[in-house]
Amino acid sequence: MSEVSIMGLGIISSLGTDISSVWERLDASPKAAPPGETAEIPFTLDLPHSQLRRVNRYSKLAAAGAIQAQKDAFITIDSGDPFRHGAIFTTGYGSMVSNISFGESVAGDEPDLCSPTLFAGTVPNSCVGQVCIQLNLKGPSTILVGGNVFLYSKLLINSGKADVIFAGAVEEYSFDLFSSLGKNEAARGVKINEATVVFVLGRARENAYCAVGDSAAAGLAAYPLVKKISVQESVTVIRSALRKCLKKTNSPEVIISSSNGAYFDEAEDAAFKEEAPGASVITGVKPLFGETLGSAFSLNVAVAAMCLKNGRIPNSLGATRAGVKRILATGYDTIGNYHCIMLSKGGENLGDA
Amino acid sequence: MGQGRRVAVTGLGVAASNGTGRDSFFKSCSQGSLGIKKCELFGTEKLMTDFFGEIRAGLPGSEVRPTDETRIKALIRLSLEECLSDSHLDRQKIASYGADAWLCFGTLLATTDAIMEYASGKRSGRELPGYLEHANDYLSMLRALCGVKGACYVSSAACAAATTSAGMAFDFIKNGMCELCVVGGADPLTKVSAAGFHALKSLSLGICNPYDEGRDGVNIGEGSAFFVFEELEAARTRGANIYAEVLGYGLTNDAYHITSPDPDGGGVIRAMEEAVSEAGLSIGDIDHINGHGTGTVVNDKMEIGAIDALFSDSPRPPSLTSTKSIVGHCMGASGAVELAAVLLSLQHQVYMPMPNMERPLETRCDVSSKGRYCEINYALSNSFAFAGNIASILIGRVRQ
Repeated sequence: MSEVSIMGLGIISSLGTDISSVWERLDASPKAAPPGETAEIPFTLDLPHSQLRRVNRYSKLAAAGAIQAQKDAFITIDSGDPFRHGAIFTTGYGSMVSNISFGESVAGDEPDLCSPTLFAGTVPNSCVGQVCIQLNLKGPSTILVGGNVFLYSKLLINSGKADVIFAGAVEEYSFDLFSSLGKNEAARGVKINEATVVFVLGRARENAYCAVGDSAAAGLAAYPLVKKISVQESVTVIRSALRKCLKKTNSPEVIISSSNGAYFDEAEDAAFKEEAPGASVITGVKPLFGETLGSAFSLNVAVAAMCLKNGRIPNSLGATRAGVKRILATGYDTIGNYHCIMLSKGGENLGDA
Repeated sequence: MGQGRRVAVTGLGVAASNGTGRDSFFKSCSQGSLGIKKCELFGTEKLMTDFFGEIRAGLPGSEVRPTDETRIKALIRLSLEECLSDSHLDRQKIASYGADAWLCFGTLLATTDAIMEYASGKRSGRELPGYLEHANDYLSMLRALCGVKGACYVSSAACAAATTSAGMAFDFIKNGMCELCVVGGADPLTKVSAAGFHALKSLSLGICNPYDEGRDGVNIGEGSAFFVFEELEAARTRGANIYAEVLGYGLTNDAYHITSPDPDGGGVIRAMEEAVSEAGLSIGDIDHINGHGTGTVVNDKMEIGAIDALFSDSPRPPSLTSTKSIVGHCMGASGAVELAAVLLSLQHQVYMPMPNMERPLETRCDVSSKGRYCEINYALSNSFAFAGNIASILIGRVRQ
């Protein structure tokens, strides 16, 4: 049976709002400029206005990413059994804008004036519902807070519960949340941005980006962006995740790290030196895209997938290697998981999990 | 039986409005003792109803800072500590599993009080720093309390969150990704959910009455429940008390409407079919269903229709109940509280009644307002949600 692969990709980010514009900026020479003012990213969603009247921005971001990914994968849902196609998404903070807005209306103590539409948009899975409605996906679906959507999606496909999974990550801009995070000491100097990334995962095809290999996770003491945690203890946690992930696979040639210029980088650096000493470590993804919270790990995976599809590391990220075939993407999520996942091109050993 | 490792449930802790602790909860549920009462947590003068499934165990209110002991943290503590004690595990023993012990948790409203307080402050011109970014702090406390060093998966698929988490935990152990999972769900009663369902005009004016002709809506509740899932042979080797075996689950999506279920019930039928198929059983083997059973006109009609269609060829349709008729709708925690009810029904071979039922909807299922002995070998628990999410999980008595 062929491997589970990334067959399509959709991105809305500060660096670009589709994969070609993102790759173009990544490959720019001189280097792409880092993100400017943190704000809502303008994007287009190719759906009739009548279908979007009551849909909040959080769900529109997810739907736009999913539609991009579907087109990129050249798949048609209508031709198959819709129950074989699912959507597994993750977020760090969910539909924060709708939640604060609805909270303000509740604080007004006039429940008759609260909007049922606004309330419906407060649930974190509203974005998944919108994706499923727009693409007619009736298979396994959920929204995770944090977590590794690749691991669970791959499990669903390998265990025969689905043929195709739209695996995505959504973090929308919220002035209140982003300003509050920005004032946190642990996040000092870190630019926070919104981003949406959606992958189409399925059985490998010739034109796939890459195969999805083993992944692992271990628990940090907290989300490093919100609370300063011990670097020394974090090294132990990261090393345990790396060892588990790399146990059955060849070593990575390149690691795309979660480095954001803050204190936690030191922990990753130390762990990489011990567990993957031969790998080139790319630290430039977050400096370009910003810290994207619940989308950060998925964004690293997306960049790794684009590098593997193009067979090289782009100019803005170093361009030191050509013909790269094995990339390890890492990241941490808003609930304190440290994640790593191996991606490869061209039948490289990926383990069997 | 499906391929893969077998998964046992070896610990149970539960807190709901009709009882904190599994003995109290079981006794109340089997006798039909209601936890739905007049709300004391917040003012209800402007809401459609006064009746909520509130836990009166001295839990904190919504005003507590997220870094302190909040209502969600207190709820988690109530049932998690009971669960760990019941499983003869503690945080040190679970920590000794290293990255092979995972946490799977379901919630919808865990961060809502913090966001509500922030929004309330914003409306009145007060700045409340830290409330938003620390809203997820309860998870660090949860992880520390149970000793899990491995991955943490939190489903927030609204009212299907906890059942989804339980299904994921089953899949992770079955497929050898981890050895043990602490599984659970928790949600507090909040002004936000009360106002939201008021705005949707979905609240019952009195006490809810699922699967009854006179049903008029839901009562919002709160609760938490935790379980230990582990590989069956490992559980036997360590001499654990095994409640039941998890046999399968199904996740689907209606892809129909953000707040209304697909009236055809196609997604519900498919989710139950997948759970049964994964177990290697046939539909006729199912003895009992703990339905989603909210008490709304639309949900219950759809669910009864789906179950009747699925069991149309079965000579022995299952018994059907709704725990929400007793404790209210515990939102993201409802699947966990209801899984606790199913496990206790299985253990004691008892049908838990729907005490308000007077004129049951026409159905092939056995529904009743009275508790009684009931042979249950295999039971499904259903959870549905806004955004079309559907989850169904199948458990059974342990076979050799």
